[in-house]
This record gives sequence, structure tokens and C-alpha cells, in this order.
Amino acid sequence: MSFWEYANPVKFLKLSGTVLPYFSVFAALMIISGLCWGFFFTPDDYKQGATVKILYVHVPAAFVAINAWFMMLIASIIWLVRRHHVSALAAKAAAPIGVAMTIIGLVTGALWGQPMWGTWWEWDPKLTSFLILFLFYIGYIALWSAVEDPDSAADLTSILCIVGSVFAVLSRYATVFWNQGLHQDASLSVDKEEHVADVFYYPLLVVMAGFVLLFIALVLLNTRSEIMTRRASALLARRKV
Amino acid sequence: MHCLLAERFNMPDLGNYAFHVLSSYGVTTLVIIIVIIFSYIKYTRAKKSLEKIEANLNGK
Amino acid sequence: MIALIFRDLRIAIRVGGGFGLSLAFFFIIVIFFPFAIGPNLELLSKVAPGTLWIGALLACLLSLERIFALDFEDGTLDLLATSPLPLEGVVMAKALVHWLTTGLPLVFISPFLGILLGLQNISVLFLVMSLLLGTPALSIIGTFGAALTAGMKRGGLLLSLLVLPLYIPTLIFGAEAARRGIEGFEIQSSILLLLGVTLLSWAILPFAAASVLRINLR
Repeated sequence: MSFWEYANPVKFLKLSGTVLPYFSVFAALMIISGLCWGFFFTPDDYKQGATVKILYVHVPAAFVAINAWFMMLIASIIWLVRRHHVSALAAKAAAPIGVAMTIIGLVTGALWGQPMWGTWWEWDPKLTSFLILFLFYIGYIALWSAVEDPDSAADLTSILCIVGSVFAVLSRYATVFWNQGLHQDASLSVDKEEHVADVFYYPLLVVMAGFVLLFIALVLLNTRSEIMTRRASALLARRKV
Repeated sequence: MHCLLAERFNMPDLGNYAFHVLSSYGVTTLVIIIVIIFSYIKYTRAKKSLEKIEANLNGK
Repeated sequence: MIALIFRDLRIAIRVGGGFGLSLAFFFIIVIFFPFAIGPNLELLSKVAPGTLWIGALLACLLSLERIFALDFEDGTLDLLATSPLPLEGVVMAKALVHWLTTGLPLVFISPFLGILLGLQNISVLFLVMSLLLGTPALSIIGTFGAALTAGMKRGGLLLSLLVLPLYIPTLIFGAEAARRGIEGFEIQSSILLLLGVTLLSWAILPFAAASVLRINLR
């Protein structure tokens, strides 16, 4: 009995079918309770006022947006090395959720930035690299939808994901370098994670766990539908022959 | 009991930032709900078509 | 490999279109910027490095599709894949030819365009240097993208969607190097980083592009 047994689509479908309800319920519970805790029962920040409440949606979304790409990278490598179809499909399933989380991160970031920095958008390294991450997600999804043969599509997108990761990291450092060069205005890049007091930190952790569970539940759901679609087309092809 | 709960969930005073805070919560909820609905529709569709095909195959 | 380089070079020059077209495109793009921004030389000289870099990037993008399309259609690529020369070598040869036919001419005409945009003598030098060091990276990254979309019928738009995000580090470091040089800051770090991106791309992308080509040739 090893982890790799779940690379078998049938076993995966069975297992994911049983755990999916639990994940969804826990995700909903944690997100709702964490958000209520954060929204109703935490004080305002002495400097940022009520806008600190945006923290509870902004940080978890950003966290998931970045880690979704990592998950896709790992799944892609597993597909290239061990040729498990579930892995490739899981990478495909994670991409749209990553896009959604990136959008949430960008929009809430803008809504937070407007009162704090006086502008909706600042070409700050963090914001810029999020925008770049968004572009990478779009390219990845576009490549998936453009290739017809499913195995080639999985191969090509996996390699794109690996190369893209290298260049995404490079872009991250490039944006830091690029923004420093123009103005040494460090006051704008308020470090969001490091100066968070405990009052804000615990509800944040709950919401973050909830977002991660939500991500897992959605990936499982999407992977299940991908497997089913794949199976349906395979059956159709067999009948034609 | 009822009074106590209602008191506890008093709307916090958001000051000038009400729009920003509320709309960011709203956007988050909206996007997440869209993603969930989208995934769910895709899932039911995939399941239905698979079941249809399997039923066809078994019928023949 | 050298034979392949010369063959591709000869084809690129003989057909003519591919060679001059992206150069003309670059020229037009850069000339159009003053029409859009206004004839203010001071402002133009400020945006000149960015303009020239964007122009170079687009001109590069325009000619990418041609790298593999013809060879893929007539089966030359299958032959090359089975030849003793490793596919990584083929990719590098293709990228090198692409650079020689688009990147290098671009570098040569960039000083004149820089002057048109109001750059002074020494500033032009920085611009040329950054383009000279950065365009090879554009070529090899583009070759990877072209390899990804080699088998597709309508790959053009997808190709730009895939390649442009990968161009970001090169663009940032290249334009930054030129701008810093022009404004009189130290440029060593940005030049070294630009060179680093170029060398890194040439080190890893031939392998990625070759494996992608193998998948597409399957």
C-alpha cells in the first residue's frame, strides 16, 4: 500500500469521492468562522484603521495563488517522471483556481492600496510579480486548450510549467531590482506578513487553512471531472473502432 | 440568548474605509462562488455524459 | 551543426522576406512612437530605451513562427531529429540563426533610431550594448516557444501569449541597463544580471526546447 496507488484513476475517484465532502465542509466552516472572527471580533489597526480587515481575504488568496503554481510544478514533474495521468490532470485542474485566487489577490490588493497608499495601483515588486504570475497562468491554460492530443498536451504544459517556474522566479527578482533602481521609497512596500500582531494572526491562520482546504477540495473536484471527461472520450473512441 | 448573539455580531465601525473593506469581501465571495459553481457544473456535466456513454455501451 | 547554420542562413537571406521584414517592422514601430507621444524630444529621449526594447521584442516575436514552421511542414525536422546531431544542437543552431538574422541587424540599426528619439552620443552606446547582450536571450526563449507551438495550425497568437511572459526578466534588465546608463547611474549590476539571464537561457532552454520538439514530432 503506497501513496502511488492513488495514481490509479479508479482508486483516485473512489478515495476523492469519499474525502471530498469532508474537505468542502471543513473549508466552508473554517473560512466562514475565520472571516467572522476577523471581521467582527478584531480591533482596528492603529495605523491602518479598518482596512486591516482586508488582510483576512487578501493574504490567504495570495498564499493559495502562489502555492497553486508550486503544486502544479510538482504535479508536472511527477507526470514527466512517473507518467501518472492523474497527476497531469491535477495540474490542469489547479490552474483555473490559481487564476481565480490571483484575481482576488490583485483586486483586494488594489482595494487595500487605495486608502493606504493613495493609489489603486503601485508598481511595487509584490504587485508586479502577481501580475506576472497571472500572465503565466493564462499562458499555461491557453496551451492546455490548444493541444488536441491529451498526452502531448500534458507533456508540453508540464515542460512549460517547469520553464515558467524558472522565469517566474527570475521575474520576481527582476521586479525587486527594477523598482529599487528608480526610487528607494521603501515605505510603500509595507510588509504585510511580518508586522502582524497576534490578534490579527490567529483568525488569519484559520482563514488561510480554510482557503487551502477549499483549494484542495476544488482541485479534487476538477480532477474528478477531468478524469470522467477523459474516460468518456476514451470509451467513445473505443466504440468507434 | 438571542439578544446576546445579535449584540455580539454588531456591525463594526469601518469609518471611511467601509467601501474598501466591504467590497473586497464581496469580490472575494463572488469570485469563490463563481469558481465553485463553474467547477460543479463542469463536474455534473462530465458525470452525466460519462454515465450516458457507459449506459449505451452496456445496453448494446 | 555548422552546415545547418549555413543552410538556414542561406535560406533566410535567399527568401528575403524573413530577413528584412522584422527589421522593417522594428523601424516602423520605433518611428510610430513619436506620433503617439508627441514630438517632444526631451520626453522621447526618456522613453527611448523602453521604446527600442519593446520594438526589438515585437520584431523578434514576429519572426519566431518561421523558425520551425517550414521545416516541420516539409519533414526536414524529422530528418534532423534522426540525424546524428542531437536535437539540442539543432535548436541552438536555429536560435543562433534567428539571432543573426533578426537580433544582430536590430542591434546595428538601433543607434540610428536612438538618435531619432533624441539620445545623445554616449547614451546610444549603452542602448546598443544592452540590446547586444539581451537579444540572444530573446532568440533562444522564442525558439523554445516556437518549439512548443511547432505542430499547431494557428499557433501565432498562442506563441506570443506563451513567449511574452518569459521575456519579462530580459526586458526588465535590458531596459534598466540602458536607462541607467543614459541617466548616468552605475550599470554594472544590471548589465551583469542581463548577461546572467542570457547565459542561463542559453544553458537550459535548448534542452527544454529539444524535449518539446520530440513530443511534437511524435
